Amino acid sequence: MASSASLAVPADPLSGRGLSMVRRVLLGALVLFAIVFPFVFTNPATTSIAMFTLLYVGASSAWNTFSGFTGYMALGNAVFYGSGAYAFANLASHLHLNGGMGIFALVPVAGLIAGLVALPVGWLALRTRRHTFVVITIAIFFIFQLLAYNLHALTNGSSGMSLPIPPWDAQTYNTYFYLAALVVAVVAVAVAWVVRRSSFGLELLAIRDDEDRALGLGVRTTKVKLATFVLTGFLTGMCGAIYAYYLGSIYPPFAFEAIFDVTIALMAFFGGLGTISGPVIGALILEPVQQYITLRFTAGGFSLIAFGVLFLIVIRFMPEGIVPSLAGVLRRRLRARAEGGASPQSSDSPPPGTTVSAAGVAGGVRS
Amino acid sequence: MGTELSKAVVDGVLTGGVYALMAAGLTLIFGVMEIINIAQGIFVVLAAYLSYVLQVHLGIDPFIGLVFTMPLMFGVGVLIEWGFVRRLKAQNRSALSILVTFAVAIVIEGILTQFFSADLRIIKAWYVDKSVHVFGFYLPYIYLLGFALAVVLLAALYVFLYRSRSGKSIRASVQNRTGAELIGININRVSAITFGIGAAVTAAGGMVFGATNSFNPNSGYDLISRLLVIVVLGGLGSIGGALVAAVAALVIEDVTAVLWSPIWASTMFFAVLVLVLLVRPNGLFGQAAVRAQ
Amino acid sequence: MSALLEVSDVRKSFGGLQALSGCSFTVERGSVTGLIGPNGSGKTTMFNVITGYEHADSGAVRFDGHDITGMPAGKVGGLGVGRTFQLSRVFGRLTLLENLRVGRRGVPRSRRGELFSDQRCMELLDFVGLTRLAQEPAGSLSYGQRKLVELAMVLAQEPSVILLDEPAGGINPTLIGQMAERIAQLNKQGVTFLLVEHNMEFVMGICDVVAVMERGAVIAVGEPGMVRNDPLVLDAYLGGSLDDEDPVAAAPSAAPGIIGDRS
Repeated sequence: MASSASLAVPADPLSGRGLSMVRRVLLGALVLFAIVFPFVFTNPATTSIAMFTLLYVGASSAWNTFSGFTGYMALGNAVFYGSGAYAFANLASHLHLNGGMGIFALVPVAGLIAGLVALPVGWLALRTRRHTFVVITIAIFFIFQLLAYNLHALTNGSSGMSLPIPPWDAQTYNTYFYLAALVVAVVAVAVAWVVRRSSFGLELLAIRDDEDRALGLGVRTTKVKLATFVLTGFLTGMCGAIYAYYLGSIYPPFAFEAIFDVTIALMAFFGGLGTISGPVIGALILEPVQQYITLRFTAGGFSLIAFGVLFLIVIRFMPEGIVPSLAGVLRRRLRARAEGGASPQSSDSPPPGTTVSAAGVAGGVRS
Repeated sequence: MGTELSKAVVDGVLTGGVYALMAAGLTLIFGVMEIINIAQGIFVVLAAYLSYVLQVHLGIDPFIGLVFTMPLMFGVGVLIEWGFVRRLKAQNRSALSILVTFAVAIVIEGILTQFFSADLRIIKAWYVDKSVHVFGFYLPYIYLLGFALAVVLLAALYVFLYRSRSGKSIRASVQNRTGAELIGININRVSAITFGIGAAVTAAGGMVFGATNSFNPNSGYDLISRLLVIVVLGGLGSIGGALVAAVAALVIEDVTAVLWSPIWASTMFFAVLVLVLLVRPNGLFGQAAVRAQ
Repeated sequence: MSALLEVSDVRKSFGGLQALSGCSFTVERGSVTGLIGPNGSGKTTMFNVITGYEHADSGAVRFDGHDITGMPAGKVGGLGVGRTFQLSRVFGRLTLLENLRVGRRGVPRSRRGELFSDQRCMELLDFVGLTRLAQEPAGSLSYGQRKLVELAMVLAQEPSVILLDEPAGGINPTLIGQMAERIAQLNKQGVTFLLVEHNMEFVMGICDVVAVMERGAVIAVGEPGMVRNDPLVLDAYLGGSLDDEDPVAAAPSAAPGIIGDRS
């Protein structure tokens, strides 16, 4: 009876239980390509864009792990990006470290600090739901931006902080940073994948669909949400740390940038909200385009107009995102081929073969 | 200290009125459509530029200019609702609407930057720099006029919503979207009108903002964040709540500047929301969300 | 028989509206108890109070020796009180199998593994006849099928009592029959039921005991046949016959079945 169940295709090609052989090979090839990339395309302009793209893969994937899975639209993740950046800068300057490879070891530490920041922020913001949650994350974002200007001891205010400069030529510099960003991006995606497959992830999705019902079924919604929020903070903080180190100096408006908040959300939407591959694909497409637009129209309002129009086009024509749209097409094709018409929505009539295995149920019932 | 403090309170109340005027459209649009219009901040800036252009190039007084700018902004609102907001599908509508209105804001910001550059401007009129001396306070005319305008327009909006036929349709839609549709209210029309009214009221708010603050196309970000704080504080969808919240938040900001330090005044503005939501997760006047079933 | 669920003098008001005004009744272990009454008599509110979705202003709810008054919903569920909703609440974007797996948290750790194993979940889907759709998102099901999924979801937690809010509302006759059959079968295995239902044929056919609510209190209890002829009860239904379905209740719940309610 269960045999026909295997016909169904999971909504997200990468989130199915276990990976098929084909997917494993494809994934391996993709990772291999990503590793080899900076050695093939050595132009620093290219590797710089590639590095930023990977940072956004990481940040967007992290955003999606909380917001995509739970449906809570956080628009203040720059708080963690900036916290990670400043944590890294402070660690480097207080430990009097010189630029080089070793300092990358501080990236996870900066991430942990950002995760610590996420704990009270999440505790506070998650007392609210829906629109109020959106607005409170925005408000907290602005509080942090103002703090970055005002807390001179930690940030040196608007004069900014400098970071150690590694003694590498441009090409090596970009390659190393690219690889560091790649590691963080892979970690972020792997975390999303693990979460999605766990019962923990299932609870997040249940919260997205009907939070009160999930609570009623015994899901500890507050804990689950907060834990994921902190996880997102940790991952986003690592991206921020690499960003700060790459720039060599950090200022409040760069660390805490409103556009960042919206961009990572848009990437996840574009690729497919709540899917594993969605934010990756979204970032891989949108970040290079955005970088190109910024480089192409440096002065005046044109880059803003182009960027905004790009936003609008994406939302207009891909409201569900690339991955779900393609998965939908695929699913329909497969079903049409397999069944030739009988769809599950067809009627209320009980499906054939409903002989009841009473014994199976009787076994566990308490009385 | 005492006079400084009472001056801070009076200033806070007067600016609060202006902020309420700027926030009214935001909370109205949310109340009817459940949409957070991120473009509200740039609407204010756009309206300020419109008044500025009329004043500088045609010599039209900003207050009289409202006769032109308010219908113009109404049109802008209707256009944006029709062009972008209406096209959103039901699923993820509220989340997508944030992105759409943000995108619209970026486009408008880009256009304004193209026309006016990033230079700071301010609307000038004879009453902008003049003050009147009352009870020991020097009250700038523009703030008094702005406050009066806010009170008049908000009252008019209130009367419109509670007395007119269109207002009743709007309020019916606020309470029950599907129900309103069933009794024959054209939701699309109501949505467009709401967006238009929201933008038109903002035209007035933007004019006063432009006369009391220097602005450039980038000013929208700071504005939208403050306006969002105000409408959430006042309870999403409540115009009266927005007025009280705006006055309260700005008084607290101004008082903080006097008692503590101007550096921390803005931070305090946002912290108020955080503190209030600790106690009342639905804002000062917000009602608890109706539990599903 | 002994009382498994005991509701005593529960009061609850919303603003000025008195939804429950001293409601008392018991559900015997192993029974199928029907809770009927005109619309707005407080049946669903009573369900919400028992299962922790709403808190009573006063009064007490006892279950199997525990005082569960005011306990949060998740805990009540963990103790063995399962419930379904009038408009069934399934997780629309999760597959049926995933829906069944969600309820793990409320159940004591020692029993989680066996209860929520995939095999066990598939058995339950089989029980409600939906194995074929195990990998489909619950949102793509028809209204009636969702009720069955919800039942399976509740069963996954192995409750000793199940509260069903209009199990037969707005679904087609074939599924109604199937639903009745499943309830009878589970009851034979020892599960106690408390159900709210407007379909009198369904109630009379399946219930051992019927309690009648009016204006927030139980006004009569007895065997279905007895209650049917109780003048007080007939009065509560405004003189109408019990076999008439409440038109107000029927209209909204029927609509989704017609539309198909896909999302």
